[in-house]
Amino acid sequence: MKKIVSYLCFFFFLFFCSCNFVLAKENDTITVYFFHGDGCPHCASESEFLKSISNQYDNLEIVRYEVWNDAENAELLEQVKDVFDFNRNGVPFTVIGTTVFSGYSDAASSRIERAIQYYQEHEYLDVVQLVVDGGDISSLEIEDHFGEEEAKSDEQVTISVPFFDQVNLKNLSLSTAAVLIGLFDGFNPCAMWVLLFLLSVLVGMKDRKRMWCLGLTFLLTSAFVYMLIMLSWVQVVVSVTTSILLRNLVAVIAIVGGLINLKGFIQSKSKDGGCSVVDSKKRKDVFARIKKFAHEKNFLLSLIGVVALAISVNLIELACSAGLPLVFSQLLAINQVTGLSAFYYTLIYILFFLFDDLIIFFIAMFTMKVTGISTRYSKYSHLIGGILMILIGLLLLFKPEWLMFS
Amino acid sequence: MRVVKINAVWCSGCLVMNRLWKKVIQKYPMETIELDYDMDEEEVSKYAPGDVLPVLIFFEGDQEIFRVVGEKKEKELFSIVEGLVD
Repeated sequence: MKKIVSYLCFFFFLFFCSCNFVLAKENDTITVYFFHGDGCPHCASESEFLKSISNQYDNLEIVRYEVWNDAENAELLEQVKDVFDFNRNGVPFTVIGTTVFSGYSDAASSRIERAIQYYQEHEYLDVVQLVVDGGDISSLEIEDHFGEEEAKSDEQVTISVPFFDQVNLKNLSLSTAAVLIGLFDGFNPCAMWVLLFLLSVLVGMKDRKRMWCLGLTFLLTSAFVYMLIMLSWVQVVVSVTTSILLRNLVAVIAIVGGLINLKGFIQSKSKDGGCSVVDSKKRKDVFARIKKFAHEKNFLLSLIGVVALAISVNLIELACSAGLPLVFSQLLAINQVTGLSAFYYTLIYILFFLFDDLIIFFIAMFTMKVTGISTRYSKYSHLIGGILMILIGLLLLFKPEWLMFS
Repeated sequence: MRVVKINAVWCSGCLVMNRLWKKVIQKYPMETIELDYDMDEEEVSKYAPGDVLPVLIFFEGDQEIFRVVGEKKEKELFSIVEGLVD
């Protein structure tokens, strides 16, 4: 009997000890504390995001504190920041268990969701609740176990490569995506016919110096226009407050574009492979322009003509190939890659996008013969590009965190 | 046998087929009339080439006997020509 009583006492002792902590598993509720300010655009985005995920988890509770117009809430925020020894100002500021999130982005939304999932399965200390209750928090050791796990998984994707020291595989994933998507986009024959037109006229002139200048100007201007459009899109997505809506919109465009590509591939299987005749008026107009500036005696006017042609052709043909560059720009945006890094990845994309054009150009330069790449490649680029677009579209919709490489 | 071959300078499939055709006529010499879709518009329209290039039209005298539309693989093109020559 004595033994049973002592066991019971020990059990109750453990039970009361554990009651000092607010355990998620016991009250079965995960609370997300969201400190925000009215009129703050990133707060509005996060609010929208939290609203969208609140229905996905039965045990998720969102507690909102407006801090710009409510002095008490602002005071609470300061207390919470003190507990976490967090010195930076600004909202949104989000707390889940012992994990804090300052600011908001697509990448942060993914981390918040991962933290919610983490705390579904792990014990957590509800720090904000303790602060609100006025409990003694000075003796608590606050450790962000979720943050530690995330840091570990980041370390695991770093490998040592001779000459390059440490290489982060997550960054490599973004480079691989740039290479693959750029390459498949490049085999899209949308603008190829103009390059062939141009080369056939230039080769006929037998003036190598002029060929090099005009051909390279055409390719570089095309690359520049493409890059400008892609970087602008990254900037738009990063700065727009309703980025989730935009992401979903791009996802739908990617899926629809992918399906169109697959349809193109299926149709091409039953059709005769070869070149579809482009709109007669457009073709004649482009041909006349190329001939005019190629034979222009004033070299500067020739260059201006090539630049104008490259800009107009790429803008018009963008509708034909917008899917893949749009998807890649979205990938950069959700990985928060902006500025010089965005320029670097877009440059890789463009280099591989121009890969087939460059091959044809250099062969023409050195052999004075215009060569064509089999239309079969563009057929299969429809298939692989289509699958790639559908896959990325679905991931953007349902598992965007899988696309967050860095 | 006479062949009318309709190409275009902007058509990469035509350029690929040009290379193949050179190999074909080395083995099976035949008269080839080259027409450009844009430069020889009037002449081309007589053959109603359709909207896929290149087009190879095989004639026996004035009679069209076969038409190859689009880009073909080397083996396929040789097999077509062999069938027509035999």
